[in-house]
Amino acid sequence: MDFSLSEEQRMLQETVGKFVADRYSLDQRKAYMAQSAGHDHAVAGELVDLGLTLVQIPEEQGGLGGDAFDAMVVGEALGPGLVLEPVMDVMTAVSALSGGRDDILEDGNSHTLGLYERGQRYSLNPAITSVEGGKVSGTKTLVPHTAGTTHALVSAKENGQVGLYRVALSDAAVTVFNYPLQDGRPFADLQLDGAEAEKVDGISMAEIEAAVARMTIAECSVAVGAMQAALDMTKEYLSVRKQFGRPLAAFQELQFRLVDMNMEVQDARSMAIWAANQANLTTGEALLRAASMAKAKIGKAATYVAEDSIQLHGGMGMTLDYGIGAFAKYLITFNLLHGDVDYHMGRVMRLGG
Amino acid sequence: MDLKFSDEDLGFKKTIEEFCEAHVAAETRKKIALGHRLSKQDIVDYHKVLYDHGYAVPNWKQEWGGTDWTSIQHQIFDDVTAAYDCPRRLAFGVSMVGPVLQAFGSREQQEKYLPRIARLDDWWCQGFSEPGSGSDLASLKTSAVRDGDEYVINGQKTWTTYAQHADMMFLLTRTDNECKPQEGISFMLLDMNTPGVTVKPIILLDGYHEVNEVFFDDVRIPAENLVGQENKGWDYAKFLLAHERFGIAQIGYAKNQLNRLRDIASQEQTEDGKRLVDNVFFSQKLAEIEMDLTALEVTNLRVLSDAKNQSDLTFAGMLKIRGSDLNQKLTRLIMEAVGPAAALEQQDLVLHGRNEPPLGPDYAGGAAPSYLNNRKLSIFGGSNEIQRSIISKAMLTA
Repeated sequence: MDFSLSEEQRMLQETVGKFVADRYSLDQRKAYMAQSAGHDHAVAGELVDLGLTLVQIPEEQGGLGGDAFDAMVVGEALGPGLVLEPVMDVMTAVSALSGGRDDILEDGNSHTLGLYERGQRYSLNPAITSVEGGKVSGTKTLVPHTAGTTHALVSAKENGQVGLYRVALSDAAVTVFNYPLQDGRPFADLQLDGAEAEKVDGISMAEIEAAVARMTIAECSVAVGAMQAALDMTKEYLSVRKQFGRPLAAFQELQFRLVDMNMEVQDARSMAIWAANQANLTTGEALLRAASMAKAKIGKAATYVAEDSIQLHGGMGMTLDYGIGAFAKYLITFNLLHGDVDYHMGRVMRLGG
Repeated sequence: MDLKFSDEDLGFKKTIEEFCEAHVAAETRKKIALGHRLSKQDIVDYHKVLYDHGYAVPNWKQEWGGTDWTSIQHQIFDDVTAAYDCPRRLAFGVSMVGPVLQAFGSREQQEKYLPRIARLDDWWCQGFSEPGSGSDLASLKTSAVRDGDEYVINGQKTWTTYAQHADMMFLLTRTDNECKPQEGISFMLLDMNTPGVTVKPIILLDGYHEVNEVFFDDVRIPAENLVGQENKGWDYAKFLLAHERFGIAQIGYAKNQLNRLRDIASQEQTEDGKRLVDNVFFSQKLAEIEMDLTALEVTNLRVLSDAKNQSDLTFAGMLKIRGSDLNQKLTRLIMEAVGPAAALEQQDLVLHGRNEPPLGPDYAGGAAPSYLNNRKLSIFGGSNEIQRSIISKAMLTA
């Protein structure tokens, strides 16, 4: 047994860490969010140039041929930056659902995913969107949407079968409603009124569920990175902020709270490592169950860390400008995407042990 | 032991229900039901309606327009207005500086300010917290130096709620540095239009401009704006905070939130096509919070019914801790019930009242902002950590 990183993984970690340090300070992030696209296109391009979106793509397709541990290393290193681009979605799910097509993979950030529908909560089963005669109609919600996005892979039913379809956002029959998420990431709803739909071969419900499970596991690592950063900030604040003539860190009640938060973060990290291992070893229901165990456990920890890090910052934690709020909002939003704690608890129980 | 309301109380309840139904603006109530924010005008209009019906300052002495309501009737008023999605009464004038002026102010101050507070002719804000003095309020540094028949004020206040709307501020200043911190503090009144006062917004997590920093640069106020005696301000502040605790558990608000939560959970369907309210995990959380609320409601009534309990610091702190915890849990559960649609930010709709179609159900947009905003409940008015210190001290030294 060996938990240490390989030489390649250490390099990957360093590369991403340096990118976050250089390009994703909280102030820089705020400036990106203020742009009309809700992020910075050039910075997104740098992420693609670093090869991050290719991490899990096989070498024979021009990728780095990495596994879920590599994705985990990238995710945890991205976490402290609260990166606005959907790196993990593309790295894990888009690549898994590309059907091996070069035109989907080649440009890193051109393709996004439309897998959810309004009013259907966390269900991946398309209830509204359908395909007839090569045209897709319906709506998709919570679609990552950045300046570089040209196409969406949307799930839809055709003759009762779930499939995945490639749609050009420039199609006159596609309307894009942009909005930020609570944590500022640029997303969109898509309204499809008979848009040209090109079927991606070999993708059915099982492949979609597996891809989302892998993406969920990867997103858990980002959350772990963000939680660690929130913990570090809180520790720093307790050391600096003084009340009653001594630093807050001198109050035992607050020391214990910091310790509890640290245990949540370490549990979450262990869970993310375990889940990445499962993602490498399992498929089918075992993979879905592993993703659910990780998301439920890490989702609970995310809420705990978000709420207690605000509380330990006192009034400063309530402000938009002081950094801890950005982490809290990211962690809360993490819980609202790809299934909340109850959803995943249900699946852990349903799929047995 | 008799837990029934008297016939008189039931009649009172009906009167307040009819008042809410007939006189409180439907649009304001709808904003509250959806978790959208009120404009200054919404709050002013509601206050005028309260004033016209004699409900603006029920906690005051009758001489100044107050009522002879019992504690239970005050609670009924709060419960009913909350159930009808009415705003909470703006506290700064009515519940804070008003009672202080009645207890410690000069006759001139009372006659000058109290009628204007009752009508909300003046919007008041509270200048207590400072950047270095939050939980440790007594360490405050904003100085007031006597110069002839004026005080000259220098320093900074923070977390000043609605200072951007305020005409007047009541504030604590340091008037003596040579004694115990608590003994050198004075309670003063300040016109926000005085030269040297600068208000800077602080935007909260939900994007809302609710609190501010207020800077004082050689601000001159008349010496007659001192309330009571110089250096006795800490006593008046403690008196004020004791008044503020009245209704701090926010039971009515919590009950209303629980009803809203049930509504949403009945409309939302989980992935198996069942109503969320029938989901085993969610219904357990609903049951748990109903039990917590029931216990807290009875604790609150026990406190209201007994003067001895009212002066018991262990109860006051408990109501603050349990009440804030409960309301925070409720807004978290509402956000969970709304689910992924709560992840979409819709600030123009929620904060600025822009008339645009909501993305998702109409209850979705306000869910996360309300959750984020409610994180303040365990921080302000004496954080829950401070409350626990007060309770343990009261328990262990009794």
